[in-house]
Amino acid sequence: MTPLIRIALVLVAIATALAVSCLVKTTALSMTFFFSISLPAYGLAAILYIVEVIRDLRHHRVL
Amino acid sequence: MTSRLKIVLLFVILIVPAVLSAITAKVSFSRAERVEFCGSCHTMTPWINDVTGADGDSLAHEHFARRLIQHDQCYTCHSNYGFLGPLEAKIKGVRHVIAFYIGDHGKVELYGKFPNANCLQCHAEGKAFLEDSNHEPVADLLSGKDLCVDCHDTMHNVEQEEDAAADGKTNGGHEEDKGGEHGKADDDAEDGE
Repeated sequence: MTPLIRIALVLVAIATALAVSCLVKTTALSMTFFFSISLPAYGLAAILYIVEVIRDLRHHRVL
Repeated sequence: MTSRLKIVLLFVILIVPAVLSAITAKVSFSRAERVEFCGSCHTMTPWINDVTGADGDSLAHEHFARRLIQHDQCYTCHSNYGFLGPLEAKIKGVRHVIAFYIGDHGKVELYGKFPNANCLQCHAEGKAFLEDSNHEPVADLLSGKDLCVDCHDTMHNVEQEEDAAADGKTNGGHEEDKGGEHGKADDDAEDGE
């Protein structure tokens, strides 16, 4: 597993913890955490994953 | 990486987060309209107590106690009536949270005048509203030239309770007579029915 994927997984874990806490008990604070931390973290993790996929495809000379 | 791991990562990093985000956003936006959500900030406790308490003489309490608004009472009055009203309410809510956590603990008040449209979304076509001579000329209320809150000014009774508590201390604990305010609140409630 590459460093980029590891970082992506850590981001997903943090974001998921905050999203679940918002689902379990929706308060102003948990909702703020979800929208200001979870969503950007998910987005960043997705970008890292896509970058890694493109790198992998280039490595195998598909792209 | 094996092909199996790639598929697992696709689900863990892309698909599950997308589904979880959509569910959380939908559920939290829906829950954010409830009175309990507004009360999740301790700053709002006096207002929530005023609205949901057993005794109250404010317009908000009357609307809640008589169930003139069935659900989401805070949200119904405080999100502006119109296409972007709910979005503006959520942006203002975020401003509230930011203001609180950067240490601005000043007086809690509305950002602007309470718009007539928020009252008139229910009352505009009501018989009690249209037939009350105090509302004439109705066109001025409908256009926003006259404000509902200019007369119906006891929307919440939080400041008055604080004043009463302060007076109670200075007057040896005697509760201030608020009969005049009760009378006004009753008039307000009757207008709403």
